[in-house]
Amino acid sequence: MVYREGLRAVTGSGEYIDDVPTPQGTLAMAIYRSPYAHALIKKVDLSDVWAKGGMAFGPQDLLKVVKNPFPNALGLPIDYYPFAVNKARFYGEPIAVVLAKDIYKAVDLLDYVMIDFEPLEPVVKIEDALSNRVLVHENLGTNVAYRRQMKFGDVESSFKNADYVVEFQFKFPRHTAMPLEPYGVVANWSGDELYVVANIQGPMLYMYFIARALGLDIRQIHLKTPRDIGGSFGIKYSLYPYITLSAAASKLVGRPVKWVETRAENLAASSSNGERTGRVELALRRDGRILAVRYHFVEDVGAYLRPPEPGALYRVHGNLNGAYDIRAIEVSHVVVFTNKMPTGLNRGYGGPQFYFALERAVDEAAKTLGLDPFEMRMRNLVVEFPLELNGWKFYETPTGGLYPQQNYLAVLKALEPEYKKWREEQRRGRRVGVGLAVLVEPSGTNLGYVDVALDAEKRKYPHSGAGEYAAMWIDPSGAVNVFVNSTNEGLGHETAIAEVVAKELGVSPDSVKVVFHVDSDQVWSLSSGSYSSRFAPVVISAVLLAARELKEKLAYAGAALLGARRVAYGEGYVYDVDKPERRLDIKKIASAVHWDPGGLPEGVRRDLASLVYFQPPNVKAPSGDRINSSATYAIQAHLAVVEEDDQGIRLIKYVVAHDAGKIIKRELLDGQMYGGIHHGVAMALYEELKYADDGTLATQLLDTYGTPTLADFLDLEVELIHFETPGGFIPSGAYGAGEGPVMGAPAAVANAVADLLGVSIREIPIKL
Amino acid sequence: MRPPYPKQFRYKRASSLEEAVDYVEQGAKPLAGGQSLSILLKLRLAEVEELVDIFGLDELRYFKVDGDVMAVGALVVHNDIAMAEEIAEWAPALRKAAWHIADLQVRNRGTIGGSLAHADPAANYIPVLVALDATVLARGKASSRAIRAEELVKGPYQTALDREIITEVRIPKWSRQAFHLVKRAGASYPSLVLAAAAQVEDGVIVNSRIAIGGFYLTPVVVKGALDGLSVSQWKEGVAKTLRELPEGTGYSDFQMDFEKKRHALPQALEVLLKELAEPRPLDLPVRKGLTYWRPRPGNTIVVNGKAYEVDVEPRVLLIDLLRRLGVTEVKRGCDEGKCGACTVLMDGRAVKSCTIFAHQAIGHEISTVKALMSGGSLHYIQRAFLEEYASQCGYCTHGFIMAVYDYLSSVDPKAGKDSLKLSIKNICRCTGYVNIVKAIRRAATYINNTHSKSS
Repeated sequence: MVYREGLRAVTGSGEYIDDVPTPQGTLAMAIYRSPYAHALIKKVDLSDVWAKGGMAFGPQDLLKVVKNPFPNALGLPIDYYPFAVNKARFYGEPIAVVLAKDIYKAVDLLDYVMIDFEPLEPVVKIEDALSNRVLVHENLGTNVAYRRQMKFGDVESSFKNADYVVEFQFKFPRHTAMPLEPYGVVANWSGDELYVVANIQGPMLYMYFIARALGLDIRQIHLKTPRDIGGSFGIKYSLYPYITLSAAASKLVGRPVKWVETRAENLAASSSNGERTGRVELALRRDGRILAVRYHFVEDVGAYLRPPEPGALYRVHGNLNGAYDIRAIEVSHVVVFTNKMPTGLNRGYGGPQFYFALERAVDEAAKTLGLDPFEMRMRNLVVEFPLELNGWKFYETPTGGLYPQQNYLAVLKALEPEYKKWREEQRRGRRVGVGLAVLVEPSGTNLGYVDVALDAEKRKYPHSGAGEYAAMWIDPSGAVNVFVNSTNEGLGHETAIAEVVAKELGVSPDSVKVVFHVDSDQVWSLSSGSYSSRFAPVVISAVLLAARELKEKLAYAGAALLGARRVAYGEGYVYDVDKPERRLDIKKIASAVHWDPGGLPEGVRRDLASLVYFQPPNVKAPSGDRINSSATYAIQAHLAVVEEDDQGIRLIKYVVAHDAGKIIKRELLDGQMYGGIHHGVAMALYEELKYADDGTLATQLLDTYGTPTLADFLDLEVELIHFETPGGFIPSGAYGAGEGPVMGAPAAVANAVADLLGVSIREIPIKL
Repeated sequence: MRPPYPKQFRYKRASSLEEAVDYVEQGAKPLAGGQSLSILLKLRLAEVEELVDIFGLDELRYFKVDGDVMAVGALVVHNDIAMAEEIAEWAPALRKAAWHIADLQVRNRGTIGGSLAHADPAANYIPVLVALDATVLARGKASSRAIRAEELVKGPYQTALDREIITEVRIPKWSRQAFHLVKRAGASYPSLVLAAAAQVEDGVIVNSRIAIGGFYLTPVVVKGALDGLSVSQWKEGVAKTLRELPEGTGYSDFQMDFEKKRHALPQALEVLLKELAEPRPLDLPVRKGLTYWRPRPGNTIVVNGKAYEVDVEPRVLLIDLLRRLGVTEVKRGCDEGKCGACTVLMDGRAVKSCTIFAHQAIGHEISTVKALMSGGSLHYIQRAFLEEYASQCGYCTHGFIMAVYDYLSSVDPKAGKDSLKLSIKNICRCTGYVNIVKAIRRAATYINNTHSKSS
């Protein structure tokens, strides 16, 4: 079938936020942003903007509409508004908005915004934050948002009995996966109801935040996404403050408002992952077995704790043992505030940092033990899945994760020929470095994982959101209509759903219409949206269940129309089991039911529609400090090969072997994996959001951010090795695969560079 | 972090060099291809009262051999310098430098005179022209004068020009030339730009010049360091060059500070002088002829075959005009003319519509992908992108297709690796480029099949 999203792309007919027609009289909004990382706002004077024919609103105006600050996961008393109030806490924080008939004029008028600042010393580095000499939030009395320590299994005795203990210290940079399309919002009010079109990614949980901030009921908000979103990778998860800001401006001015972010604003003030420093300690047996692991992570979340932060530390909570059979784990977390952009999701949320630390440490351990890194990993992989649940077998991790049965050894083994080939090249004198990383990719997030940040007794309510609705109905022409309240930011979901539904119903994909965008006026769940690679395990499962329900309804109607006693459904037909030549196709049944519902016998249901909510099994609220933080987990093994020339480090080969359960559509899967590798390589060798000592962002251009172009990837050979073991505990049998590559690549590339240079790599990006 | 929309300015278009010189004398700033200036104006790093657009002056586009000097018209675009047979023959180092400028879209618009006048410390041409001991002709209202390339640049973005327009670059012939640059990969500018020229008689170097850009605040030249050596003695050459390198004020850029550059210099010189010793032929296409840009008369631009009056402020960028006209397939992805999402064809050449003011497009024809689809059926490049799953979010796709169209039709229909690497530097954040590269290769096979069928 034709790649639907691709056809729109190549014909230039996609509709993105900046292409959406705006209501008559829409004003363009430009944002006046703090030029300081940390400064008191003494006075805001916007009168000159008004005098020049523009309109402008400052914090005190906006506070009339924005009635509440956004909540945070720890319940800390910090006032996070979509604009700075009294004090600017990061470079680029919005302070005022200017509105004019076009964006050129609005930008000119920014010159007339007069603000008296009293610059304060900024808190830029993690060490500065920990010293508490200068405070980001005075009322907290500290820059430490939070400390937490958890233990699983017998950590002390494992370390006591270890033959060796290896400690690895690291630093992981701020990075943004930087979707090429920046943020955009069109906000408009009708009476007391708010209409918003924005390229938000979900989940719909954010409806609550916007409603709460504006003092509205959720029903008063009509939120939509455009049909196409120009990439997201988690970054657009954090769009809601700008939705709130645009809505407030629109309310104050009494006109529709459109705001489209620019690249520098995106790099400085949208979202990124947090910088993380810390250490990993491994308790090792002489034969290479890892007996226990201790993690100490210090996470810099920037100026505010923006939900779901500190989730970057908990997204991987169920898989803190990685792909290894490690039975004792200790983890200690420190979360600090600095005067930097607040953090949030960034492709693989928390995974790249975590696996960089663990997988680099494993290489260090192999070196200490004199073991080959490949062999070291083979000796530690999970091999037994003894727990039976929902008709499937699982490995239960010390932290509560449930890894479905897969052959981890076989997946790593698949890299062996390539690994040996490059080792042989090295023996022949070629200067190359080879690096490995092995991981499990968690997919289908359990939103309840954020609760683990709180001590169990402090949690008010249980949370385990993970599910999705799929709505499906047959129109009078016999076409199958599918609606999922989610977002299309380049994942090919329309194409995949059409193909899955067509196959399930035995019809042509051409007769399946898929509507796949956010529309809060349609059925949605808190967890609706595209994130955490939930499409394959969760959304496709819901879609399959809806299709199966629809088949049953078709069979009922078909039986009545055929006057048959026993019917069955197969290949697009309902047929009489006793006389299989008597059959009706979907078209005929649809036509009869739609046009002549009165003709059906009494008691026969007349709807050809299904609405299914699928919550993945095994996804429950946390119990104590343990949680199965994702619906599924899938094995991935990575291999990176690097060389050095006078332009620096060059990646020449990258291989991923993996098993993501059932493969829904190989071309789309490959594309997601290629893209994930690219982001991970960008983290390892190219990109970093760097702050100057004064807390301003030093990387506001692609030039300085270091983004790789097509030319940089032309010499790289990428290979994917797919295993396919469908998971029998979910209808789709499929696991996520789009984030594992970004989780493994920073570690695999760093391990390759360490191998090449014979030094320990503790920080990325590696720029020689 | 102000959104990248320029301040208001006045715009005039010169219909002759004399007229241009008059405007410049009155204080207007000359605008050639504008590939650097437009970005500085957008980011409000530069301000101008008035621009005079000289890009349409085709009389400044020529190559002429004049005795032992080649004269290059100042408005010859980088891509013509990169691809011209004349330059490949006469000034291979300049050819290589041109190929390494930015990407195809920038090379289609940027001019040699504009690049020299802009004097970016990371510019590719200046060290080459200094090494080749080229001369620049500058025309003012009262007189014309010749300036030696090594005396042109006075500092970052500062030149010896005084209300003058560069009209010609005169390049002497050298028997050996080399060019090399050090660039930390990614979308960054080069950190070191090196060039060498040598006259060799009976295997011995009798005259030599090595120029290094991006190292000090102004390009530095080392004269005669190789004299008396044979070209194969590159090791001694490196040592002598380093010994004779004059002192200067170090220049740090974002990717490499001066210390790092100093550390990298010996290896870079080694690569340069090895190339001087054993010139490696570039695996890059050449062609005959020049690209001309004289606009058609009138006040309209033609977009996908339809003419529109241009009635916007001079500062409005072509991308914004196009989008206001409903041509929304043209996307904005960055502030600095780098990502290529806004690429369109202007008179058939790929250009970035966010680096061109709408008024500069008056008298020209703009095409988007809609113009490639004849009778609604997909063009072969579109087909290749679709078949290879070369798009995910689709936001960069249009720009890629337009850039690839120009690349395959005017640069290299075979999509050779080196030409591709130096031409297509658009940015995609979804695909990891893997399927885009496959699509480009597939499209190249479609053209070549068509050609073999028709022949």
